[in-house]
Amino acid sequence: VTRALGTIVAAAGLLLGGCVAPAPSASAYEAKAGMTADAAVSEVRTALVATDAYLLGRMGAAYLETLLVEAEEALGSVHDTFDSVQPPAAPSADSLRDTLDPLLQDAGSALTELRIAARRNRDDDLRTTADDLTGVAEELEAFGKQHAS
Amino acid sequence: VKRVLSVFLGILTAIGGFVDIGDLVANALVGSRFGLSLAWATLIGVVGICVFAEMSGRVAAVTGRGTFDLIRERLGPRVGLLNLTASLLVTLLTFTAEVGGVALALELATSVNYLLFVPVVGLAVWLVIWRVKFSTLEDVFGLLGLALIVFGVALWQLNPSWGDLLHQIAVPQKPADEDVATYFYYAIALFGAAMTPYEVFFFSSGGVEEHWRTKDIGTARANVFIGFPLGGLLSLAIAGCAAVVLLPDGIQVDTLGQVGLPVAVALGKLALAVAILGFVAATFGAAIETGLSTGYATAQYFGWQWGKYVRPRQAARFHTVVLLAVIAAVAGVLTTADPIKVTEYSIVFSAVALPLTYFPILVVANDPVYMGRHVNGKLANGLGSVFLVVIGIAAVAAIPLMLITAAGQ
Repeated sequence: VTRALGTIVAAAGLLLGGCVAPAPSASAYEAKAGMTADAAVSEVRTALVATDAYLLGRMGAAYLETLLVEAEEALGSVHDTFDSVQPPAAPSADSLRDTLDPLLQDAGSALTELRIAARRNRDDDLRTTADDLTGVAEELEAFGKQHAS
Repeated sequence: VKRVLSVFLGILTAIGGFVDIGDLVANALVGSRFGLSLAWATLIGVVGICVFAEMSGRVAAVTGRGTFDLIRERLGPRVGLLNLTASLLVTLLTFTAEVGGVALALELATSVNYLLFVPVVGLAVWLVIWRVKFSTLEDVFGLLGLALIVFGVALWQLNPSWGDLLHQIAVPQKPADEDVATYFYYAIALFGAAMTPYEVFFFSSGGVEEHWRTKDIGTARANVFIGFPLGGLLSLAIAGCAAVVLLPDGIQVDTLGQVGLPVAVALGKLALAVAILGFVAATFGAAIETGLSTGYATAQYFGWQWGKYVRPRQAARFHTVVLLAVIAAVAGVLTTADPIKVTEYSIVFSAVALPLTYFPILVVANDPVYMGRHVNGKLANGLGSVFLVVIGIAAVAAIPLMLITAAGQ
């Protein structure tokens, strides 16, 4: 009974918290890194599609701003969750972390820049930052594909 | 002419009222991850809701009594209480999601944080339930919900490969990068979103509110068999838009703003404003329906006077339950739990509670003592029985799949 209860509590904890357990192996850590990159791509691409629509006059500033704030927050959460996972003691895991972490950092900074530019109605800044972010998105996509589970 | 117009209006409001926050989120999310390969789940859900809504509408027209009143009488207080508890919990969760959905839609229009809108939305929902005539609120929000047709226009404007989309529907295939458990978890989510229990309670209680008689069964059937499938097409259009615009970019829907993104891409600012209007109407209308449904279910079970066709003073306990539900929903959203996550859980838990909702309806609609010559025919019984099996499978599989897939992650 105690064992069953423990399993249920652990499962409920994972479910309710939406949190991630420490990676038990190098392959699991790699899968986690791949999923993190995919989740980051989703937020970055959302921001890019929205910014593009805004610059083409297809979206209002309020809608863009809301999407950018949500994307920025979601990416921050994705990044924090990945960082909270204890990497296994393997050089490959450290290499993964050293590659993905800066990409997430760059994406987060660019999203912040986009949000600031949107709130200040600076279309030129939006264009420039979106161009930079496109490059980061492509790198994240490549990373996600390379480390897909 | 008046009758034809009335039927037409009923169909339009059924279409506009079909989509709620669960349909919006589930269809866009699934479209962005699975394309239209899970359209079959929505289609099955639409057929299911048609089968049971027709039964419950017919029961209301023949008996003039609410669903829970009859369930308690026919199956006894214990089964009735189990049914009430499960339905009430799921409906409250859905109500919370709808209130959050209205606030999120207002945030999209203003960029003001949604939490600031939540108390105002709660107050507005309560005031509308308290003051506005049943037929008025049903017609107004149903018709405004038609604004979501903009998703159909957007899909057409996006000029997708129709052959490819139809192939995804006709020959469903799990995307290679998704696992089987996740595929079926989202199938159940779509099924649960289409067959949300409150829709049936609201539909049948609404029939009693509007004093349906046996002569109105035809009108009710027209609303169900024409309005609901067309509402289901709206759901597919939302999924289609996500499949065409978001899926290729690897965007997985986790906000209401992402749901409307394809409309902006396809049609621009004005259409996006129409989509936001549709979001507000669909979620506000559903908030009223779920809020009323908590009152309907409780009052019908306990045998209290209920409904908006009597003065609030005469149905004080019914209105008290509704008020408490509004407070609970507002408090639920103000915990800062993500309304989209609440929506995702509400549709999955809806799937779990489905047998408790639909089995008693089948029993009552099949009882000649209540239904006389309007008792279920072979077709209704056959379809009802088949769907009970499907519902049972979905209910049993929902929680294990939720745990295995970490809620679809």
